[in-house]
Amino acid sequence: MECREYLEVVEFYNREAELLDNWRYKEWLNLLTEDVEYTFYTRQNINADSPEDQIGSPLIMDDRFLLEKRVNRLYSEYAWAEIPRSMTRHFVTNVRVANRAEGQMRTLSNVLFYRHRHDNPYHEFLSYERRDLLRREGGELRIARREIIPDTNVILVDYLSTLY
Amino acid sequence: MELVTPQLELVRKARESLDRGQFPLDMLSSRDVFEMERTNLWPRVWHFLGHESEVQNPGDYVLRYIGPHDQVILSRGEDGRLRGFLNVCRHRGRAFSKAEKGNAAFFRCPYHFWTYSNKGELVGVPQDDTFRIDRREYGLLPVKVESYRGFVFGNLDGKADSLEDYLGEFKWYFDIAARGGELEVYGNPIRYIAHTNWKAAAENFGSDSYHIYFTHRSLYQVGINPLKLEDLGLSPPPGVKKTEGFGGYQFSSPKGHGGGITSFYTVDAENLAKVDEVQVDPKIYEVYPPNFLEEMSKHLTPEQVRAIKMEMLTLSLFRVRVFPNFMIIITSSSGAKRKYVQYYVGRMWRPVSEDQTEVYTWCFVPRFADDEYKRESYRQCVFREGGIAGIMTVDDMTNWTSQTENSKGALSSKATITLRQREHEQPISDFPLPHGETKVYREPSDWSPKAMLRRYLEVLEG
Repeated sequence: MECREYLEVVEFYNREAELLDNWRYKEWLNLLTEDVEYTFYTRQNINADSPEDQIGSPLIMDDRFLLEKRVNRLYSEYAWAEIPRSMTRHFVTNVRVANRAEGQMRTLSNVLFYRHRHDNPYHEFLSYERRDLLRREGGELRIARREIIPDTNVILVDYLSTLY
Repeated sequence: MELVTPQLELVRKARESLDRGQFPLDMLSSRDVFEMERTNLWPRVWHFLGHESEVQNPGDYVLRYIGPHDQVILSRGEDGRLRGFLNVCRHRGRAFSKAEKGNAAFFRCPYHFWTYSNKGELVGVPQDDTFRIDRREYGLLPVKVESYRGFVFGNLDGKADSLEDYLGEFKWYFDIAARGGELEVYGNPIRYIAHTNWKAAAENFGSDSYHIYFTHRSLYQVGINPLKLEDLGLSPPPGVKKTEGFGGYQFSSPKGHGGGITSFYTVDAENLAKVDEVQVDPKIYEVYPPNFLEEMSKHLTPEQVRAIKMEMLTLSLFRVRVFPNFMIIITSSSGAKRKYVQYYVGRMWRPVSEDQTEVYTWCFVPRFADDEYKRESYRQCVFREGGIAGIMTVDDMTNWTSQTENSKGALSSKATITLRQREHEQPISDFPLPHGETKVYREPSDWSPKAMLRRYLEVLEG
């Protein structure tokens, strides 16, 4: 793969993180395809040969319709979990382009998500893997599938009220 | 001479406070209360462990908790029987299983390889000529386990009445929520630990329909509120009147169980009688699986089926709380691919410390529904309130974490939770489906949380 293409992918994720961490959620929706599937899996603490076998059922399984509802709700004056908004940071690393085909590619990346909110005397962290299917639409990369696999079976943040 | 410990003094004060319609905020996260719950509450109750559909086959097991520390293995033995054991090896007290579920013919403790059958018998001791012990005396420590309508509960001290007696007359309501035993778990439970005391959450989730329109107002703004008849272009059955805002009925059992029907419509004896004559509009069956009523008729009494039919005709929410910390809420919602579904949220709140709680969420589905229905029901369950990312859960959690924080202050802990809604009202007499000792009040009301907390204090006092 060309350096330029890899850079484009990395830049795409950097731009996405910038949108999310600056609360520009509606603009973030523009990075998704119409048929996007956004799935945040649970992880199970079970004896297994590979992490793959530990993946459980989803805790988010949104399509575009539900993602738009989820995002629009964050702009309501009554979305209490995000009033005031969480301070967040997405650290996206270890970007790998796993599979390229005509007009689309599969990528893997690691994310460390940090959040602080509402005067809490504690930090909140979540470490996870992203498995994406990126599709080129009108020359731009778009997210057609996102699978999130957390590195914990018991989620240790108070709640997941933003996007990952 | 009666010895009054500081802890029992707390309980007495709380009881006096409750008589005035208040619950002291410091009862949420006081260390003394946590300690009292550890010794007096969790061992005495029937505590939800899981659903039979999670341990269907011989050898299936799940690891669950009762209270903050007791690990219970719920195991389906080779003989097909469900049993509960403490996850404690009888040799040195190590947990023999670290996985949260699996299938095993034997449990082997890694420490010295003492080995037990999935029925709990000690079947292997290395170098057993060095022990002069009777193996029958060293089986796994049993936890009393009973199942009702597919829901499996455990009792640590082994002294609780039978599960059916514990539920008592409230079974009538539980049966409706359990859909006559025709539910199964979809996927696996979602687990998370949040900075809240379990009581703040349990009091709300099992009783409080008052908060829906305020805490969850954002849902109405973006059009993802619980489904109403109008959304389907339907009107209520003849004679059924619309209420102002959320109405309905709240159930309150002296055993601490509770629940309710949250509805936009008033159901009285007169219009309930008409239920039998009214046909369920096919549009309602866009929300319910086909043949839903027929399926229910196989497992429930005609009176219970009538209650379900009324739920269908008015698209009401139905919920139950089993004392102290397990709830099921059933809601009709607009869906995604399939347009409408009902979703079933089961939640159990387990304290891990005085101010942190592990929440288990199960999304249940009717087992006779088709795969697409089940999948869409699960999707809505997790989208709305099933897990940690549910758009309702997140706003609920800010309430509970904040109450918990305030319950720790030198002065703020002296504030109280006010439980005075409809305290001037008597149980209603015209509810057409009364049952036994369970009292029924108009919603919203604080009678049910008060009964739950009263029972809670009784159990703490022993």
